[in-house]
Amino acid sequence: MLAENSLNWQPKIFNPDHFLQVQGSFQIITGNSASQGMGVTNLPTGDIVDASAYGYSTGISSSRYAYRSNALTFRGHYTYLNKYILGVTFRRDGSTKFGEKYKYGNFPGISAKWIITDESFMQPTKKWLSTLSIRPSWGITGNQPSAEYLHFSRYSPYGSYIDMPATRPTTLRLADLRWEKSTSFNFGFDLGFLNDRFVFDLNLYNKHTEDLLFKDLQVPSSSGFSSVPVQNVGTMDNNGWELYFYTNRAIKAKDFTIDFNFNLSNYINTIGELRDDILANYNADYDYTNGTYLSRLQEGNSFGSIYGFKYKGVYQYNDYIPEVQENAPVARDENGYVFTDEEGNPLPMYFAYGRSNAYQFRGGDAIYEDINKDGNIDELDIVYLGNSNPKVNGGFGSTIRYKNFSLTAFFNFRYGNKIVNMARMNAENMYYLNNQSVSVNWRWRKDGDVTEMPRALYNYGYNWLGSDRYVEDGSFLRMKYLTFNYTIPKAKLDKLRLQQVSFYCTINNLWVLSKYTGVDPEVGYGSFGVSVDNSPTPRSKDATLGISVTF
Amino acid sequence: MKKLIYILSITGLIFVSSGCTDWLDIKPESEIVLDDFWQNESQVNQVLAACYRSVTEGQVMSRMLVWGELRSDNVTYGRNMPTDMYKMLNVDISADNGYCRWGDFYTVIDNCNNFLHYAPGVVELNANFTESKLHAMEAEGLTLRALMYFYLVRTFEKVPWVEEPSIDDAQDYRIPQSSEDVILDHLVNDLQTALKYSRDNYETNTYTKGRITTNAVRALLADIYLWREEYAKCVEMCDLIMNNTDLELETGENVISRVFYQGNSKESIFELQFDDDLMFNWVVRDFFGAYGNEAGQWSFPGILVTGKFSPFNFNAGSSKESTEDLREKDFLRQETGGDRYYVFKYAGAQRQENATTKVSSYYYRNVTANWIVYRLSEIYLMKAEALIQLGTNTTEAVGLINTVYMRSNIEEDERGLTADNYTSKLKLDELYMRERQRELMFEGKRWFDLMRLSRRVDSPAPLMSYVSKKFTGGASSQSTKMSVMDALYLPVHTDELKANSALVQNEFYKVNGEE
Repeated sequence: MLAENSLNWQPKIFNPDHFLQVQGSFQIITGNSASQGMGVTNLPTGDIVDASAYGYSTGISSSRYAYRSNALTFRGHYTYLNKYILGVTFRRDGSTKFGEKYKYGNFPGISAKWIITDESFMQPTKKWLSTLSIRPSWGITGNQPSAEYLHFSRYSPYGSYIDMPATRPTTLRLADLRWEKSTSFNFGFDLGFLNDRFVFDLNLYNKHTEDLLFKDLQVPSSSGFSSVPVQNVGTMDNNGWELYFYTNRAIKAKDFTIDFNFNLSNYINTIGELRDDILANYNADYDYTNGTYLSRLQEGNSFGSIYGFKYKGVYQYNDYIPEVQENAPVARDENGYVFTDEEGNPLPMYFAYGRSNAYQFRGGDAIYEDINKDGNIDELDIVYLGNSNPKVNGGFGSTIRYKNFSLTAFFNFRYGNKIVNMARMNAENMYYLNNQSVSVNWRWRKDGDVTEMPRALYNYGYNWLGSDRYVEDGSFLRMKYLTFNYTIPKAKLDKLRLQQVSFYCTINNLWVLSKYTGVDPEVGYGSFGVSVDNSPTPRSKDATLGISVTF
Repeated sequence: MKKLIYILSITGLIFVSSGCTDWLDIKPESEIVLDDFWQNESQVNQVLAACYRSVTEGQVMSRMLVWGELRSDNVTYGRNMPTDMYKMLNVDISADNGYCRWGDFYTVIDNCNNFLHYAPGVVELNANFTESKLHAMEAEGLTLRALMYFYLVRTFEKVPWVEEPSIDDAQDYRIPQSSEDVILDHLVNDLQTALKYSRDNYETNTYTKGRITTNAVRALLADIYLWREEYAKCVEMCDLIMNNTDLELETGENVISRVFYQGNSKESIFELQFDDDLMFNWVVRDFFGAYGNEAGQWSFPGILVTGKFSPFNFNAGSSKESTEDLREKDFLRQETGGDRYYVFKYAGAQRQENATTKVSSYYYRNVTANWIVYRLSEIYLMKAEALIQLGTNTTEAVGLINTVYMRSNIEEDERGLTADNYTSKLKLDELYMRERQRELMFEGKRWFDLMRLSRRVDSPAPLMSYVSKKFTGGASSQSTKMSVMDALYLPVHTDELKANSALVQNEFYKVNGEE
């Protein structure tokens, strides 16, 4: 439920050069929610084939929540001579989600605009430079956790033992939960040429977030709890820029007009500070298992870097015979000479030598580059394989109009990011009983086979370690949509007493150009880990036909 | 301008009124906050119940079994075993194995800690809640907490010692591990305190078996003394339990149905109570089997049912042991048309043997099972083990083992075990180990039995000599993974190491490159 009272005041100032508007408002939000749950497990399934098998209840639960918040807002807007504009806001928020000390957050903001082309000294260039203005702004915004009652240590019902009803402490009190505060700076430039036929809009921004709220944080389980729902843990910076260009009737010839638009953008997220244990959590030790990539989260660095082994194909032979069967799993030094033991026998290549899961490579196994040439593939052979963040994102399009026809096309693209193609990894690892890609038909089967696809090993071996074999370039160019539109001339409609009738046809996601081998290169990025494609349903290619009628 | 001032003052007024924080103070409706809790006796009872209830959680139950039995010579692959369990069974243990997580034990410990911290405060608020009531309940909380710690210490050797309740996130939870001795000293102290106040019995039999009694405290103490090689003290505790007239061994024929199927038998000392509707014991059902699910995840190694390594039909000098042992048929059941021996203990309701054909019919359980933590026959065997280690009265030791043995063996001459056959310490050790295997298989004890053997000589060799028998092909890879004492304990889970920088990984499981 929301209630808002606001007061507007616009003073009559006799000097018309000044304009002032002031608004104050008070907002109250209250809400309730309730949930009920009930669970039964071990009902008959493929494993439990007896239809009369026991299902057992995992419990019945119900919970109720209520929340309240209020906000006091003050806005001021002042204009002088229509070219100097100043806006001030101040907001004070209170919420039930915080404890005594931190209930309220103060969030000021200030923005200004200077339309330089309206200055008299800009008169000479007005002919071609139609708009030039700068828009600096600064502000603080707040963010609160989504859950309620976090600042209480709570006791909840917990079934029973024998016939004694049980209640237990279920949450840790979050003693120091605070508003997450983001301070943003934004510099905007507006540029228009030739009576705004060509318009550029550039924004540079920096957002510095303090008291970053992180969800589901691990606590040492010797506390009796496995995690806390949310805590303020550090600072983060988000730097970026956006460039937008569009035209108003760029090319005009008789009944023809053609317009263009174009945008480019990019941003980088950087961790400023982060609590040690959280950093440690992201920066796990290498666990020597198939299919995992290392990622690193470091203070002061952007994230999304992918680390793994270098994949070098498949061992052609099992046994090494000099000059004859060279491509076999033996250890070599930096000059390519094979290491031998005292008796002159070649030393085999190992994975994780000296560990409980040590493995000696055989013919048909994947070759990983032994970076440090010690005859052992381990975490010291892991190298940088690329970054999940694109160098640039963008889009461009055009609209062509002829009389009552119009054709609009829009493309978007991304350049310079890497994706871990997990779907391909799962379809080519030949490790489980899962369905596999047809490409595994080319797998290594016998000594001498030349192939890029290792042999099939059920639940064994290390043929699908996180390596550059599955790290792919995620750059793409996509035709986002194509729209064709025809509007019936107004003159013909007057008889029918209709305002407007138009027919249109839109085709979405018509085609994609990409070297990426997965189904859709537009994979999300920007989280702390690496960008991973598990092959979700790709964007659909669809067409819409429509008529729009306005009476 | 007047107007401006007026407006500003109104907004200021709203501002001030919004500063009233009471409006923004709401307490949960379906839960009670700490400040409002701990007001009366009923709430104290409820948290104590939560201490018990949290022990019956599947995550705790399954670990009591996996930690106490899985790696021993009693268990091999049955059916549909989860990956982490299968890896542990094959001694392929890494620090990311789910069974290396100890958090659910600490949840029980934290419940106990909260109880022990706040319950005393209720005495002042509530006249009906007397000191003596409080102390009796504290004895239960202390013992449950000690039981959890004893499992942790036997499994990980070093674990963090926590006795303060966890209340808010400002507390420092990065608590380092304490040595086994420090923790066991705490436990012995706590249990001695518990012994002073614990109740001998409760109003109903279910409570007497399902809650901590004086005998349960003694049984746990005896077990700890045995682990610490303080044998005389162990014998003392066992004697106190055995002198008790409330406890009595069931007859051998009735063990499977009375002790394990019906539960709360007269030989049971402490037994976790489960419930079909509210707290089903799915661990027993999944691991051992039940009606409609006769093959559980675990089975008994076939090679130990017959042959020279078997505890049944064992050649002991002049005579054979366990030629007609009821437990061979009652606790195990050979798969029809297969060579696996699935668990019938707990999984079964009863076995009926046709008098003429000698063929048994097996009837399975279709209701939930309780879980026995201590029962009288184990006390006999604990005392025998302690006496054998003391070496002073081995005849009595054989006699105690014989008592347990004879109730399940029908021998025509009723001779039982004769002390003459077990003259050396080694022979006696092997005897009690065989009897423990026959009597207590699948009760979450065997791995710890083997650990005690190895701890006495500070070498994994004795343990390996038992365990290797279940691995076909010489068990060389398994034995290299159990080559040092550290390897017999589990690693600290990787997530735990990440969350708590004060923890140190077990030497054996340290990854290359870690300090």
